[in-house]
Amino acid sequence: MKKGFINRLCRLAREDDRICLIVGDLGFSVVEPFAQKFPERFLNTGVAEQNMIGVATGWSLAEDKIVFAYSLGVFPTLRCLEQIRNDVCYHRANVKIVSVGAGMTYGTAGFTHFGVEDLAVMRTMPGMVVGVAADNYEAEEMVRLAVETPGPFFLSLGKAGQYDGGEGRQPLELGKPILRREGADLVVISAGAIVYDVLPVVELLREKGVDAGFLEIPFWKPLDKERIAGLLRDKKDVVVIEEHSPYGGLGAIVAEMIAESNICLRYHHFSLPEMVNRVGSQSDLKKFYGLHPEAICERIR
Amino acid sequence: MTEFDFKKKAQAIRIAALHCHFRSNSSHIGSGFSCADLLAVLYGGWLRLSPEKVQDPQRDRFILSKGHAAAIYYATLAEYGFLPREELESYCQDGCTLGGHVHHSVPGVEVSTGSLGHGLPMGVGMALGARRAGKPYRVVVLMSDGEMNSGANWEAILLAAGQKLDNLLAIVDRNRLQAMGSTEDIIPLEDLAEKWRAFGWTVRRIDGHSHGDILKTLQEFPFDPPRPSVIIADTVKGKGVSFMENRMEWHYKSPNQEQFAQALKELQSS
Repeated sequence: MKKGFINRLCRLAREDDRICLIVGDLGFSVVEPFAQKFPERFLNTGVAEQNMIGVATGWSLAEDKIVFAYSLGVFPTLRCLEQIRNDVCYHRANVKIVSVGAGMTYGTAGFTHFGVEDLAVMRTMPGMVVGVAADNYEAEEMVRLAVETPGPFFLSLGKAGQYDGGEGRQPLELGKPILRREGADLVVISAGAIVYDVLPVVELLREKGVDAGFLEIPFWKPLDKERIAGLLRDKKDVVVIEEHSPYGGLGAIVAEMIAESNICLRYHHFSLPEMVNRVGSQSDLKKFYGLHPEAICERIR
Repeated sequence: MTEFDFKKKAQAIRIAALHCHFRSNSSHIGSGFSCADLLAVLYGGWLRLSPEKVQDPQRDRFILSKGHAAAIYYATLAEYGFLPREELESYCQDGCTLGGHVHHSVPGVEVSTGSLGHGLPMGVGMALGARRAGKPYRVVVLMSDGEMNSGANWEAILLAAGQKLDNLLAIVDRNRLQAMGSTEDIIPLEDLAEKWRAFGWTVRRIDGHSHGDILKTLQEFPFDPPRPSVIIADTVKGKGVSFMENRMEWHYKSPNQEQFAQALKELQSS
């Protein structure tokens, strides 16, 4: 999804000289187009994320810039969380934090490089939009929304499949879920690149006679809770699937919603365990942790 | 302004802050008194800042990174017309704007601080922004020596030198005391000037209570372009009140009635 991100960022930056990009010594073969076209708006702060966020905030406040701060996994979030809270969020600064390598994208790199708690944590940051892109098109759309929406914004980018150019797709709307499949019995809810593993699950369930629907939630904050509650109200089961910690993420969001809306249905949550201590390809890791389509289908039955 | 004027300003600022701390029973009076002279001179004409200019895009940016010195800073802002003097009475009262750590909603305050190690990174961002935009304003960050413990500061120090930000001035309020004791017992900082120099900055080390030295040094900024500049101001925590000077507990304590009266007497007669 890095390609979608940088392409859209460059196109927008051509028309809007407020857009700047800071990287924490990452982005090799990704960020060069921006750095070459807009050198005065690009900065590598080195492997120093706390300073990166402070610098992003200062630059944004002093010169009315929209500053994207880019790194990998939990480096741009957990490493500098207090800076996000006390610099970016406290000042409602126009700083957009981008993390590539969502989930276990960099599977062979191991736990230090997995972004598996950041979404839950970013949700708690005051005024922070939390966007979870499922593919290149969504990545592009989220860049657009990040530029259009003043204030803090977190954009999580995973590994996408073939770049589809977004033909025939609707523009994303901030806070709105995407109903990808209608279904009367059961709703599957997911977000991020794993959405493309979940779609086959929905089809498998339908083949087995379960009228399963699929709801994608690309924005974890803000969130149109009414819309989601409306969809869940008459269903028997909800299945939440996330390539993320069991705590505070999509499962928690849906559980909160169910409790708040007084809805009664069976709740099934598939996530990673809290410690993801295995090395392998992302596909291997998903299989191992039960997030593969067949595994999910089995567990639902 | 003359040296005599600065003396009067510094005295007024200390007295106003003393009232704030006493009235609200709040901490950090020692931390404020060590940088009162620096603030009096900075705002006395050297900083290109004024109450009319708080939104001016070309204004100098001043960041109080040691945000716990809020009372002395608010007193400075009041003394120089950014705030009405009466507003100081609300310091740390319920629902007030003037809280124990500086807040950006107060006219003249650029950023909210309170957690140490944030001011310099933000200042670096501002200085870099000015440089990239070709604007001539300067960025000044007043830091404590205790906060030199923080890694985020050293990240900023490294980057500033690498980016040749000679529009950036850091000032260290070197009062040699931090929350749990002497800086040199906790994390030895000396030779602090050498450390900054090694990181690519040009250093001036001065008496942080000599208005003449402070002004003269400020007028030499930038000290050695393209290097960023730092002033290490040797100061005394609690300076101005004999029983507060160099005492760690005045990081925390608030004066009681008797101490308040004694402190006021000393400050008024200085």
